Amino acid sequence: MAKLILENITKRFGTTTAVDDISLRAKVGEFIALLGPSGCGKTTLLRLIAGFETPDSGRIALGGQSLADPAVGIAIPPEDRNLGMVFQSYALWPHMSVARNIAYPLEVRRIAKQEREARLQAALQVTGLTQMANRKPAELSGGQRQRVALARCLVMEPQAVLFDEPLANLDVHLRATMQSAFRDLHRQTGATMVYVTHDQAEAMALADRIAVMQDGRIRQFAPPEILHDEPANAMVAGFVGQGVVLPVHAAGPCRDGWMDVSLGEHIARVRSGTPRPTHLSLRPDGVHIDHNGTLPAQVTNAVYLGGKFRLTLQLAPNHGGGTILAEQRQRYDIGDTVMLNIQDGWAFEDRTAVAV
Amino acid sequence: MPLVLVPVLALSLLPIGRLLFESISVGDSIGLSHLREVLGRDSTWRALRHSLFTAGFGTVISVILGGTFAFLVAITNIRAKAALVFCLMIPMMIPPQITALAWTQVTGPSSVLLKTIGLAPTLGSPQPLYSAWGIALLLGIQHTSIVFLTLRANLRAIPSDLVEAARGAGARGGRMWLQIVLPLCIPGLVAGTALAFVTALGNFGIPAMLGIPAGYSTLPTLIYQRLAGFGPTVLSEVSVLALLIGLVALLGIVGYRIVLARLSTGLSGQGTRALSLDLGRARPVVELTLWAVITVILVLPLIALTATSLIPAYGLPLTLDNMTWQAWYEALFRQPVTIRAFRNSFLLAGSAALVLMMLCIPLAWLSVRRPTRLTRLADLLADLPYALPGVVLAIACILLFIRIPSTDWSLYGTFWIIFIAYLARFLVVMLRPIQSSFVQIDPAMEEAAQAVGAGPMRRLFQILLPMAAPAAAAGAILVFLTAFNELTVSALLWSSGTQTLGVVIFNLDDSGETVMAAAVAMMVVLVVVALMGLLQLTARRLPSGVVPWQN
Repeated sequence: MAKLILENITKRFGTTTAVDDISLRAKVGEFIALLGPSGCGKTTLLRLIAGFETPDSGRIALGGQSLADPAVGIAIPPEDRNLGMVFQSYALWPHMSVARNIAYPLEVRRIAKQEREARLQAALQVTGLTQMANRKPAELSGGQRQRVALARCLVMEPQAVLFDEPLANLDVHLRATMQSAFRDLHRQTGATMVYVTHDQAEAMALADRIAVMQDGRIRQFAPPEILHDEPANAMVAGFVGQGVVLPVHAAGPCRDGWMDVSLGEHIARVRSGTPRPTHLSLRPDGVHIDHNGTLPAQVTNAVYLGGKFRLTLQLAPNHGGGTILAEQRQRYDIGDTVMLNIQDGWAFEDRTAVAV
Repeated sequence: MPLVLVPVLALSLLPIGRLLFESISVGDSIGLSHLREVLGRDSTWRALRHSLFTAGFGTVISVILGGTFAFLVAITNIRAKAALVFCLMIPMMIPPQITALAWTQVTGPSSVLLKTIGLAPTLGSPQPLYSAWGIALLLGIQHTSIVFLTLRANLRAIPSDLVEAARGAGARGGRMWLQIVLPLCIPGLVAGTALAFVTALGNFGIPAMLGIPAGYSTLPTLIYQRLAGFGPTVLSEVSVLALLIGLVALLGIVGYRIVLARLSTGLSGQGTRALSLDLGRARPVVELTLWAVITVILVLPLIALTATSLIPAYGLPLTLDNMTWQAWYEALFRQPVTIRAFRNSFLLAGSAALVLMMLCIPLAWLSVRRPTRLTRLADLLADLPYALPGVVLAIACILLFIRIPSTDWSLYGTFWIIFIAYLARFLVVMLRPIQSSFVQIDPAMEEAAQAVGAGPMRRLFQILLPMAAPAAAAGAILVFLTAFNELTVSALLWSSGTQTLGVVIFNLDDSGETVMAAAVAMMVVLVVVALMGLLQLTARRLPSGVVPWQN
C-alpha cells in the first residue's frame, strides 16, 4: 500500500525507444491499467517498475523509497522491491506443490513455520484453493493456476501488485470470473495495482484510472468514463470504445461545454472543451437513424451482432466524406440511404493526428 | 567476460589451434617442409583413398538401411515402434571395436558360433571381414541410426495435410511420393548422409580391428600406427595427417550446411498430424522383415560374441558341457589390467559427466538467457571438438600437453590428458540438452521467484536446477555413455596404467586373448544397454530432443 511515482522514465533497446519520457503517479491503493496496442511499451513499463529492466533515465519510487534512479546509481533488484507480480503464463514452479508455490515468498523471507502455515491457509481460503493445496500446478485448470499465482502474490503482502496481461490465456467465461477475483483482491488488500492489458473492456472494468499508451508514450491518463466520453486525442478516441474520429471545424463558440462543429456543410451540436477543435469522436450510441434526421449517409456494410445491426455508413463528400458507425435494430441493405441525427459527440483539438 | 566462457573457449580452441600451428612449423621456425613431405608420400594418399572408400560405401549402406527404417517407422502403422527404434539405436551406442569383434565372431574359420553348429569354414580360410568391404559393411551398420534419426525427424515434421492437399489436387501414388514427400525429406536425407559420412570417416575402432590384420590402413589407423613408431618428427607428421582428415571432415560438414541452407523448406511440423500410411495386409510381412534385419545386424553378432566369451579356450566349439564363465570371472576379479580398465573408464566417464554438468549449466543459462556475441561464438566452437574426428582432437591434445609451455610438466601419459580431451569432446553432448531445457523453461519462472524475493543462489538451487535437473541428468548419462564407449581418443592417449575399456578390448583381441576380449565387450554392452534403458524410462519427463532416439 504505497504511492507509486514514475518520473521521466526512458528505456531504449538498441535504437528503438520502448518507453519515452513517461511520468505517472498512482495514488495509495489505486488500481491503474496500462492500455495500448502491442508494442506500445506497456509491458516494458511494467517490467521497469518490477525491476526486470533498468531505465536509461528517470526515477521510479514506491512509498517514498527510490527503486530505480540511474542518475544517482540506485537500482534496487526485483527481489528486494516487495512487489507482487502476476504473469501472463502464471509462472507457477512445476516442481513445487500448490501449497509450496504459495508459501515460497514466506520461505524466502524466513518467516517462522507457524506463521507461514497460518498465512498460507488464509491465502488458500481466500482464493478457494484449500482442496488443491497438495496438487502440482500441472494438475490444475487454467483458472485455478491463475488463482495460485494470485495467492502467491497475496501471501507476501506486497506494497503493490503488478499484473502482466494475466487473463490473456483464459477463455472469455473465466475472464469475467477472474476479473471479479482481482476486484475482490483489490478491495480486501487495498494494495496499489498496476495492470497491463491490450483489452480495453478489461481495463475499463477494473481500473480506477487508465493510462492509454502508444509508441512508448502515455496519450491520456484518466478514469475510464473520461477516456470514453472525453478522449484527449484521435488515438485515444479511436482505440477506446468503438468510436470513429472525423475531422471537423468549429462553427461557433464553445459555451458551457457545448459548441457547433461543421462536418462539411452539416452543422452538429456536440460536447467540447476547446474553442478550436480539429476532430470529432463519434460513438455508435451517439448516432441515431431517424426519418427526421438532417445528415444523409449510405450503408456500406451491415453486421448482425445479436439484438442489433452494426451499420457502417459513408458520408457524402460535401459532409466530409467520413465513415461512421451506428447501431440499429432494423435491417438495412447495403446501398440504402439513411438519415442521421448526431445526438452525442466530443470535439477535441489534436494537431498532431494524421488526417483520418 | 563471464568466467565460465574461459574454459569453454580454451577447450574448443586451444587444441585445434595448437594442431594448426604444429603442422606448419618445423623446430622453431615456421615452414611447410613437413607438410610437403607427408603429402608427398604414397601411404598418405592410399590411406585417404581407403578412408573415403570405406566411409563412402559405409554411408551408402547406412542410407539404405537407415532410410528404409526411417520411412517405415515414421509414416506407417507398424507395431512396436519404440522397441524397434531402441534396438536400431544399440549398434550406434556400442563401441565400434566391439561391433567389429562381435562380427568377426559371426564369420570366419574360428567363429565359435559357426563351429558350434558345424558350419565353420576350414581352418586357414580367410576371415571375409578383414577387407575393405568388411570395414565398409560394419561402418554402414554402426552409423545406420544416424541416418535413421535425422530422416525420421524430418518425416515426422511433414504435416499430413500437405499430402492430403496433393491428393485433393489429383496427385496419386508414385507422383505424390516423388513430387511431394521426397522433396520435403531431402534436407533430412542430406543431413543424415553427411553426418554418417563424417562419423564413418573418423571411426577408428572398426578399421583398426579389421584393417590392421589385413594391412589395410585408413587415415585414423595410419595415424595410430605412425604414432606407435615414434621418432623425432613423428608428432609433426601425424599432425599433418590429422589436419588432412580434419579438413576432409570439415569439407563434409560445411558442404552439407551449404546444401541444407539451400534446401531448407521451413517445415514446422506443428499443430497438424504427422503423415500416416496404412500398410494394410502387408503389415505383418514388413514387420517380420524389419525384425529379421535387426536380428542380423544386432542379435546375431551379440550371440556370437556371447558364445565366444563362454568357451574355455579360443578355437573350441561351445557345448553345454564346456560352457564356462571363467573369462568373465577373470576379467572382473582376477586380471589387474581389466579391473583397472573398468575403474579407469568409470572414473573418466563419470568425472567428465560431472565436471561438464557443472560447466554447462551456467554456460547454457548464459547462452539462452543472456546471449551475446561471445556466448554465440562459444556455442559454435563447442561443436568443433565433437564434429571433428577423434584422432584430430587426440593429436591436438598430445601436442598441447606433451610439454606445457615454459614448464617441465607433461600431461602426456597421465589421466589428465584423456580427461581434458573428454571434456573438450563431449562438452556439446552435455550442453545441448541443458540448453533445450532452458529454452523450454519460461523466463517468467525465474522472474516470479525474483519478484517474491529469492536471490540468485536461491533461484539457482530452488527454481532453475530442479526444473533443469532431468535434462542435466540425461545429458550426464549421454556423456557417460559416449565416454564409456570411447576408443579413438584414448587409443592415442593411453599409456600403461591409464587404459580404458575400449583400449583393453582392442589390446586383448590384438594379443589373441579373444575370449577375454569378448567377455569384457559383453559386459560393456550390458552396461550400455542398461544406461540406454535408464534414459528410455526417463524420456517422458525430458524436453524433446534430449534422448537422441526419442521424438
